[in-house]
Parts: sequence; C-alpha cells; structure tokens
Amino acid sequence: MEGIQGLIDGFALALTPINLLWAFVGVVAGTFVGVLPGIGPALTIALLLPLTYTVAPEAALILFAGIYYGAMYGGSTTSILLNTPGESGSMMTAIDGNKMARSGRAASALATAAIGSFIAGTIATVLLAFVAPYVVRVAILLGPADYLALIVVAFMTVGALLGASAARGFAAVAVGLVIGLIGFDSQSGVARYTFGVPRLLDGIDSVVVIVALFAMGEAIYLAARMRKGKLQVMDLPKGQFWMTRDDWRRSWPAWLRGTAIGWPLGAVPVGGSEVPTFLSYAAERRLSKRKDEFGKGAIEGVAGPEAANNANAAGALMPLLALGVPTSATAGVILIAFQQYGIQPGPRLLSTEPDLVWGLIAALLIGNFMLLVLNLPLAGVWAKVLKIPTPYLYASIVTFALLGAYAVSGSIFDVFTLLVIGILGYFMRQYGFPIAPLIIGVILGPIAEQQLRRALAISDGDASALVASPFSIVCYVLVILVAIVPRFLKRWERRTAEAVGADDIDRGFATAMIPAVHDDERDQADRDDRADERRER
Amino acid sequence: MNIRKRRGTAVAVGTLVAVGLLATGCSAGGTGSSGAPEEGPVLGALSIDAPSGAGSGYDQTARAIEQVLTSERLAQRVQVTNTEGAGGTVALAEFVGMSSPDDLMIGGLSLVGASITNDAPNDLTELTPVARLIGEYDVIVVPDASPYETLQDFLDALAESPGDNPIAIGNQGGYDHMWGGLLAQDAGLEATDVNFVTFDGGGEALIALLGNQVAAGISGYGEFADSIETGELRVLATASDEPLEVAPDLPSIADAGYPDSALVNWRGIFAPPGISDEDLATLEEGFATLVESDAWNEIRTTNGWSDEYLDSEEFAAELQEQTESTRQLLEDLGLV
Amino acid sequence: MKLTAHSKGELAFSGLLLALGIFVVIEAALIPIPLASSNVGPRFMPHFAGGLLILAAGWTIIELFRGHSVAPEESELTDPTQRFNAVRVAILLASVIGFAVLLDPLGYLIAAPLAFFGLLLAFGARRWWAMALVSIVLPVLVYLFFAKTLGIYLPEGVFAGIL
Repeated sequence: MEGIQGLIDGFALALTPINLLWAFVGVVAGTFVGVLPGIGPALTIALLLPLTYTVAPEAALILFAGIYYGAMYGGSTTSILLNTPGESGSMMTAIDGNKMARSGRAASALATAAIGSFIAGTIATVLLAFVAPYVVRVAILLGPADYLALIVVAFMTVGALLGASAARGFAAVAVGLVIGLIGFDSQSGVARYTFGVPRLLDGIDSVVVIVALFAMGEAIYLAARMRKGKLQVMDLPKGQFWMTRDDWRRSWPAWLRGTAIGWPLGAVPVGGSEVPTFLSYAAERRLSKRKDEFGKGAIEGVAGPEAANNANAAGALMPLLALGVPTSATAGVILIAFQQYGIQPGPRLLSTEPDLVWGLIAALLIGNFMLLVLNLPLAGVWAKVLKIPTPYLYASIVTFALLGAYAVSGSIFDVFTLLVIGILGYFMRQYGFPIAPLIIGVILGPIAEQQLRRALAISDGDASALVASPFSIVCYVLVILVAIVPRFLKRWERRTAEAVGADDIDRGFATAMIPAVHDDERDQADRDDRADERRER
Repeated sequence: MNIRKRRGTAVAVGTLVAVGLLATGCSAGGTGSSGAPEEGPVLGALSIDAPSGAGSGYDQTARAIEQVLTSERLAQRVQVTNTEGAGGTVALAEFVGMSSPDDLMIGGLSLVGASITNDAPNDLTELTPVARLIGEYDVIVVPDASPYETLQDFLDALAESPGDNPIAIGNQGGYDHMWGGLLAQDAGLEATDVNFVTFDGGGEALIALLGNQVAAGISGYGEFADSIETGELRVLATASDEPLEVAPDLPSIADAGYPDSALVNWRGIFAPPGISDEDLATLEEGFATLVESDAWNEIRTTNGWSDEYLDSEEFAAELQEQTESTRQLLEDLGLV
Repeated sequence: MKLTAHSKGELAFSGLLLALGIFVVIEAALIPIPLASSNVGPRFMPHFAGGLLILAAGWTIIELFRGHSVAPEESELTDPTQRFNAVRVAILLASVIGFAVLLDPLGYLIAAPLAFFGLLLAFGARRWWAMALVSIVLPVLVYLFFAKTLGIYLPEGVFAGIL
C-alpha cells in the first residue's frame, strides 16, 4: 500500500537523531507553554517562525508539531492540579480533574488525561494520514447554518454545569454572552460596548476570561476567607496513586468517544478545540450511570474532553494539509511556516511533497509517544505540586495568570481586564453562581452569532435556510430529544403516576424509551437534596 | 514528606532549566550571521513595530526586513516588536508620539482603512513614510460549478440580483471588502447593495466556496492558489492591472476591462513624525539597498509578495491620495 | 421572611446583574445599523443576551425571595463562615495593581518579584527570607525561559540595555 510505504519513509525521516531532538525540544517546550495561560502553541510557534529562514523544513515542522501536541498535555496538567486551564481547550478538564486532584486522585486524573491524549492523538493522527482528503470533502459540504446547529448542540453542555440553581446558571451564560459582545462586530464592522476604549475593539480574549474566573476569582476568595489554623498544605488523603481497575474501565470508552467527537470536528471551522471538549463532557455526563459524580470528580469528565481535545488538534491538520485551510489558530501559524518554505498546502501537497507530509505525520506519532513516556512517570511528580505550601502555590498561580494576561497581546490593559473579571469571579463564587457556563457563553456566543448571521446573509434573509440541511435537522432533533422531550415526559409520567397511584408506572415505557429520563429525574432529586442541605446550613 | 516535596520541586525546576538551555542553543544557532562587518552598517540599532500579532502579514513583513537587514549587514541590530489592537490603530497611536529615527513601524493599506473605520485620532499620513516595499493582490474566484466564466458575466448577474449572489470576503472593511466595493461600482451597483459575507480570513472563505455556499469569493491569491491550480476554483480577475508575478496566466482586472479598479494591498515602512532630513535620507538609502538585495527578492518571491517599491517622496504623495480615496470608498460601503 | 446577610449579598449581586441586562438592552439602541445589513443586524445578539440576563437574574431574585439561597462551596482551603479578610484582599489587589502599573516603567524583573512577595503576604506566608528568595528566583527563571528563550516580549524597564 502506498500509504503504508509513505509512513515507513516518514518514520525513516523523522527517526534521525537530529529530528528526534527537534521533536523532543518541541514537546518539552510545548508542555511548558501549555502550562502558562495566555501563552499557547499558536503564539510560541509564531515567535519561532524566523527559524524557518535557517533550518530545514522537516526540522521546523517537526518542532512545531511537537509544540502543538505538547501544549495540549501541559494545558491539562495545570487544569487538573491548579484549576487553572492553560488553554481554553482544557477548561472542561479542570472541572472534574481538579476535584479529583483535591480528593487525592491527582495521579489518576493526570494519567487518564495523558493516556487518553495519547490514544486519541495516535488514532487521530493515523486517520489523518489515510483519510484526511475524504473527510475534508465531506466537511466542506457543511455551511454556516450547519455550524450554527452544531453550536446549539454544544450549548446543551450548559445543562450539565448548572449547579444548584438553574436560574444562576443561565444568568452566568448570559453574562458570558454579554462579555462576548464587546468589540468589533465581525459581520458589520461596528463597535459594540467599547465605550470609546480602543483596546476593547478587539474584544476580550477568552483565555483572559477563563484565567480570571478560575485563578483570579479563586485567589481573591482564598485571601478573603482562608480557613483558620495551621493548614498550610492541602491535606491530601494517602492511598492510591495510580489508575485503578475501575478507573480504566470508566476511562477507555470515554477516550474513544472523545476521539470520535474531537477528530471529525477538527475539519470544521467552528473555533478551536473548545466545542468538541464541551460536547464530549456533555455526552459523558449524559451517558454515565453516575451523573451525580460529574462536577465532583468523575474520571470520564477528564478522560473524554482530554481525548477530544487532542483528537481535535490532529483533526485540525486535515483541512490544513488537504486544503491549506487552517481551522484553529495554531494550524494558521503552521500554515505560515509551510508558506515560508514556499510550500502551499492543498490538494496537491501529498503528491508534490510526500516526504514532508509523511515525515510530519511520523513526527506527530513520535512526539505523541514521547509525551506519553514523559508524562506518565511525571504524573506522580506533578501531583506533588499540590504539596507546595498554599501561599507559594497561589502566589505562583496568580503571577502566572498576570504574566499570561500580559502575554496575550503584550499590554497591561489585559492585566486590568483580568483583575476586573477576577473580582466578578469572586462575587460569583461567593454567591453561588457557576463560572463554567459563563465561559461557555463567552466562547460559543460570538461563534453562534457569526454563523447565524452568515447563514442568513447567504440565504439573503430567508430563515428557513437555517433548518434546510440534513445535518442541521439532525442536530435540532437531537437537541429536542435530549434537552426538551425528557422534561415533558417526566411531567407526563408524574401526572400518570399520580392518577394511577401505582409505583410500577414509574418503570413505564417512557423510561424504557429514553433511559436518560430516569437518571435525569434522580439527578434532579439529588440536586434538590443538595440544595436543601445548603439551606439547612 | 518534606524531602519528597523538595525533590518534586527540584525535578520540575531542573526540567525547566534543561528545556531553556536546549532551546537557547537552538535559537542561538538559528539567528546566524555573526562576525564583525567589514564596514559599519548604514543603519543603527533599529526597532521595528509590527502593528499586529505574531504571524500576521505585518509581522511577516517586519521579520523579513529584520532578516535581510541583518544578513546584508545594513543595520547594527534589529528588534521586532508586536503591538496588537484595533487593526493597528493602537500601535499607530503609540507610534505618533515617538521621535527617534531608529524606531520604525510597518504600515499598509488595511491600516489606512482601520484608521478611518475606527474613527481613530491618527492616520498614517502623520508619520514619515520611508519606503513602500511590497504588495499582495486579491483575486475574485467562483467555484468550478459556477455558471460565470468571466468577470463581466458575474458583474451582470450581480447587478441583476445582488442578494442571490453572496460574495465571501476575508474581513469586514479590509482590503477584500474595499476591492469588492470597487467591483460593485463597476457593476453599476451601490456598494452597500452587494451581499458581502464576512468570513474569518481567506481559508474559511475557501471552504464556503468549495462547498458552494457562496457565489464568489475575494481573497489573496495565495489563499486560493492550490485550488485554482486543481481547477476547483476559477479566477475571474486579479486585483492587479498587470499580470501577477506568481501566476502570469490569470486575467488581470485590466484584461477584464476595468483598469481603474486595480487595488494593491501594499505594505511599507514608516519613521516617526518630524525626523530630520539627514535621518530620512539615511533610512531611504538603507531601504533602497534592501529592496535591491538578492536576499530580499528571494524572501519576497517565496512569500508571493510583489515589488511595490516607492521612495519616500512618491510614497508620501501616493499615501495622501489613497487616504482620501479610501475614505470615499469606505463611505460608499457604508462603513463610515 | 428574614434575609440573612449572605442572601442580602446574593440579592444585591443578582440586582446588579439585572441592571447590567437592562443596560445592555438600552445601550443596544445606540449601536449603529450599517446600511449594508440586510438580515439580523448587530443589535440582535445584544437584545438576546441582555434579555436572557434580565430573565435569569429576575428569576434568581424570585428564587431568593422564596428562600432558595445558595451557600458558597467549601473547600479544604477556604471556609465560607470566616469573616471577609479585608486586609489580605487589599494586599492582593495592591500587588496585582502594582504589577500592572510598574511593569512598563520598571520592567518585569522588578514588578514580578514585588507582586509575588505581596501575594505571598496576602496568602499568609510568614518566613521572610524564604519569601524574599522565592520572590526573586521564580520570576528570574520565568524571565529566562519565556523572554530570553522563546522571545516573548517582557518589559525590561530599568534593566533595558543591560540584559
């Protein structure tokens, strides 16, 4: 087979000592930039672009590929240990990952993230090598109306993150949408809610919002209400440091599902890896038998999104290699690197530059393997970061947040933005408003608006175009079935149960048709219980 | 417990330092061109600001200049900085306050436009133009399946029903949009009647074109090059009045019958306002030497940039004129 | 029904969000509608977002009057029953603002250690020598890696030309 031969040749190119060194430098540097919020792979590669003047194309691309994959691992490490996502794609990992870390399961969380990333990255890269052109051909059949439908599905993730009060969850989403409005309107060019401040014209970077809410808000809260006593180090229970049999059993389906969600979406231009991680988290929670564990340290909530994140990173290379179209910021910079060598990625790339393409794919596989080898033994070491005395740990988190905010656009304006949103985060924390829905609003709101208006511009204002394609119909049917029908069924079921006064109706056909209903109800009851507990307190 | 904690931290720090050393070694090897120059360079220790983020067109131009000024030993030292924000107007506002002839800034057509659409307090005419350097040209393309064979076919259809012929552009109020406005006027339309659909750059516009979502698309030749070669996209016209250096077979806008609608997305180098004539002369000399060097022409060709060199005086006159015509065009597009 | 101090705070915050929603909707009227827009224009999303915020914040307020208060989450480090420690929060805010203000004029290598030291104080560190040592060493390492190795621009300030 031509492809297999190509891959073997690719390994021959990538396995030279010097290229292995480039890959190693790339993955290690990538891990570190992934750790620091605000400094991501896109910025790092952009800063290293001048290397293309002096080093061979395969060396530069191998380095950049290593940084790209490495940053994904670094981002999940800080999410899990410090509840500070280094990249927006690691936000969902923080939710359950950090809860796991705080209950002494940091090493398991890091391991499931690393293994999941490895498996997803490997599957996605191999698929990338063999079927990218076909996937891209299918993906381009989707248009803005389909992207909008996809975003609507992604918004369902909010339902999984509402917390104790749905009203507060929706308020948080709305605040996120409002923050997302600030700046130029991409479709008309008019400035909205900028109040004459030039720095606001480009909007508020979602990374700044994430870091402000996760790190800054929590830091202010900690300073305000630190527990009294000599508790200077987190009191972690002793015990298992590795994934248990149960962890494995729960992780592997999540890894595969995350890969299945993240990889194809890489070919679709809807933001970066955020949408797939949202979808993966929502799917894991929906399919899980232990919904109540989500938000408190469910391992699937780490395994799924991490796999989705990495599979998406590989998937984003599909349109890049097959069309020359970047669907993520990092892919955009890698495209420039190709161009600096006078190479234009596109449908003919594989025939004009086979060595380079196969070398790159081999390098991605090698880099991914290196990352696994580096990260698994380090999981235990990283977990000890939590043993750093609290003042030092939190002072580091805040200084990194400050540096990251500054680095986003090299301006202290973003540092002040960080502070202001951090204060908002403090009040949300204090008054029981969940922060994750706000971030979903910030990330998805602008994309949704843009796709909606693009779709309507293309149809010249005809709203029926929004539901004209099979893909969008499937999406909306899914939303109705999963998010709306269960509530009606539940109500209907309750009413019937009351009317008949029999218990066994509760196990009636409605539940059998949609198993989720029952779980959902139990979940609701559980939530009410929790709310009651709080009220009593 | 305490010992374990220390060891963990030490490992982390050790790794950090190791990476640092490795990467330093690499980048030191990468910068190249050490050794003392035989004669003193013409230019001093320059700082060049790219008014946008790393990897952008302005940034690439600045880095290319840095590369050639250093390798040709035209300057003692060049440092590139990036000041992002509001289409470059944030950088412009900072730059008008500078005075040293060693502080330079990249400017271009999109910054002329951004100053106007953002209603910014400053524009490029307040600076000292040193040299216009390079340019890139848009093309207007249709998908292979499109019924339109020539620009005239398309403009006729557009005039007939603008709403049914959405045109994909890469950004709002930028070069693509401006040139689209000129074409609309060629079709005898008000520019505001045209159904421009804004995408995030030419890549997304390409996806919309290949998926037959839009009737036509306007973006840089480079973004569409490969799909043009494979025949999936058909070029109706380039934005240049002469054939493109990179693709001489494509019909130019002059070939299509509208020579007045040529528009180049130029980029040039600027010094702060009010520098002395001697300083300007030195800078002009330095950049005139730059554009004649082989190294520059190599980078220029690789990037698909055309040579748009104008000296300080010509550039200043052109800029003055273009600032006014751009204002008019953006008004016609309903953006001011 | 008697409101606790906590639910008064919740109420005030929800009220603030409600006001923000109203502001967003009112301010939307000032967004110019460009001549060229043929379908939903730039005001649609502001109306949607502001409207959702009004509804959700209003609903939260109604919930509060029905006694559905939500206590802040506890963690092993924080204790919601503690009184608000204004001194520590002030030190934290001062450190952050100090960093922002001093970064450009004095440079990262002055601003970051000062901020780090202040933050250590805010989070209750005690041993002065350890605090001072880490405050200097950590920012220097960060500087070496990100500024010197990756070339990310960090202001040099007073060290300009020396480094």
